[in-house]
Amino acid sequence: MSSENRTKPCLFSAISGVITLNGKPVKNAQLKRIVGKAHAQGKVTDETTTDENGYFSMPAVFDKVLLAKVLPMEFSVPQEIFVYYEGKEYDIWSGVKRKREENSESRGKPLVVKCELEGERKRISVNDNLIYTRCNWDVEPDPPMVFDPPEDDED
Amino acid sequence: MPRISPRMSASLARDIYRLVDIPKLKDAVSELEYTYGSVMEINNSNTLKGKSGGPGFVKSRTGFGLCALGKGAYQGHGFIVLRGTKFLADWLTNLNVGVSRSCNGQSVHDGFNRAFCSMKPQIKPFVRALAANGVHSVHCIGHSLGGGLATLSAEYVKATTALTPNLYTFGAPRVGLRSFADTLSSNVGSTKIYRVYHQTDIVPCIPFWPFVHAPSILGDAYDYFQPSPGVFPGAKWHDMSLYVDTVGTQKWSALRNKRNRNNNSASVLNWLNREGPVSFSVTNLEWLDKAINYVLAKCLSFVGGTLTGAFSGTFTLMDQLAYILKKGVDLSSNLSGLVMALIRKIMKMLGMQKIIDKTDATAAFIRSIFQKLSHRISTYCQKALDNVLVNGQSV
Repeated sequence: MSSENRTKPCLFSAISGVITLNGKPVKNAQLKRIVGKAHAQGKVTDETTTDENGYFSMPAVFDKVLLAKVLPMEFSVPQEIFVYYEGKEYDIWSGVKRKREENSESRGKPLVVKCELEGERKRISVNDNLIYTRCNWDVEPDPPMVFDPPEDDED
Repeated sequence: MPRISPRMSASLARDIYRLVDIPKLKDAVSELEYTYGSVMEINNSNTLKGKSGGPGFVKSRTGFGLCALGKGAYQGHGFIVLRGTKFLADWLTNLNVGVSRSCNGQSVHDGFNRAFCSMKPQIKPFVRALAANGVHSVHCIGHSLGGGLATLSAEYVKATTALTPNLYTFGAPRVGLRSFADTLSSNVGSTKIYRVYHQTDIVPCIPFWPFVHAPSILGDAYDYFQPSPGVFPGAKWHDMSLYVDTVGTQKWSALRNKRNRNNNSASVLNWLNREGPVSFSVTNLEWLDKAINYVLAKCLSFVGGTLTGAFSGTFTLMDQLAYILKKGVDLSSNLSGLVMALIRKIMKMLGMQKIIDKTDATAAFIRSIFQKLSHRISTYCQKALDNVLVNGQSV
């Protein structure tokens, strides 16, 4: 984590990895990342392209905190990544970041992923961050929610 | 009526954020089924789009939420889980905040009321159909502004159905004036209002007096105050995830009555009459809030009037307050001592050195002191909110 950004909320951690289609790395695939702003209306968008090995990397996105009249809210940031390859669009990442820290999606480790474009879209919750994704990364998911039975309201 | 556990209500208040912020509706539907499928009846995606009313997502410009029917262990339960938007700070720090009438005719914060009214058309069919759906227990849940909206939805359920809802809020701001809080406390019942708040969360401190929290009746007995370090507002103590951590797996009875001091009249008087400097802190603001309410109640009971939410352009709430306190000064020497102690305390908090006696306490002077106080609190809250944002935390 770069020190100047330590106090700024991270909207999307630095992410890197390999994109495959039916197991083979895809080169020159276009990636588009769309991130909601934490304290204002609007989105931040950036793009990149995979290299000949299907590798891509995108930097962390931090919130540009504007002072004074910025509107407060609970940190809850929509995240999306689309891959465009051979005329098709693949939604490989669609989630909500609920923790401000960088790499909270991977419990503090660098977020390094493998994404299979035709892979199953899976649900994962990590640190309350919720992601529906075609990517895999090495992380322990949150345990399932426990529902206590209704209580009698007489103590 | 059965209630839900602290852990479950806190988890719902936390997870409503990601449920409504996930970019794709189909994922929101999947998430509902995945996480809540065992306890909630998840209907087809049409109802989730809110097209037919009834259970489903609620979306308006200023508020979002989920209306759902329980199943399994929660058969016969209805859930209204709400969250607010990004426009909280402006409302909370607005000096000229307006008051409008809630659905039950009580005086409430105009911003919150408008936000609730924008959602009401979508909540209404769900609430109307509660009886037809065999619902015997309704739970209104929310964090922050969502807690304010949950409070208004609880009032709405109570006013329009035969059911008495349970209300669960976490770090919620003050929604209405005394009359609203009292009416809600007696209609819904103080025992059914679970207002959980951290000591150093700034949001429950605002808007400051004359806005008050429910439960206002038996408020000390049914108080879910949670200690948090320090006396100044700490940004992170408003985070819903911290409330989830605080609550843990504790029972409601264990979360209650955590204050290590008494909040009775004697301790309010003790604070009021204590000599020495008074710092401008969350703790002292809370005392001051209690002291104002205490002194005002004494004056009102003597004068035999009530504080109303009906202000004209020329006779504001501030005028009413000054008028009532002035009456107290004029009519009874006991009251006069109380009012003077209150004014001196406020002046100390404001750093005013001037020594005053009874003859200085004109209505105009009292009014000016309260105006200064109001301005100082607003600045303090704005600064706390700014600090929150500078530190990369949010409210």
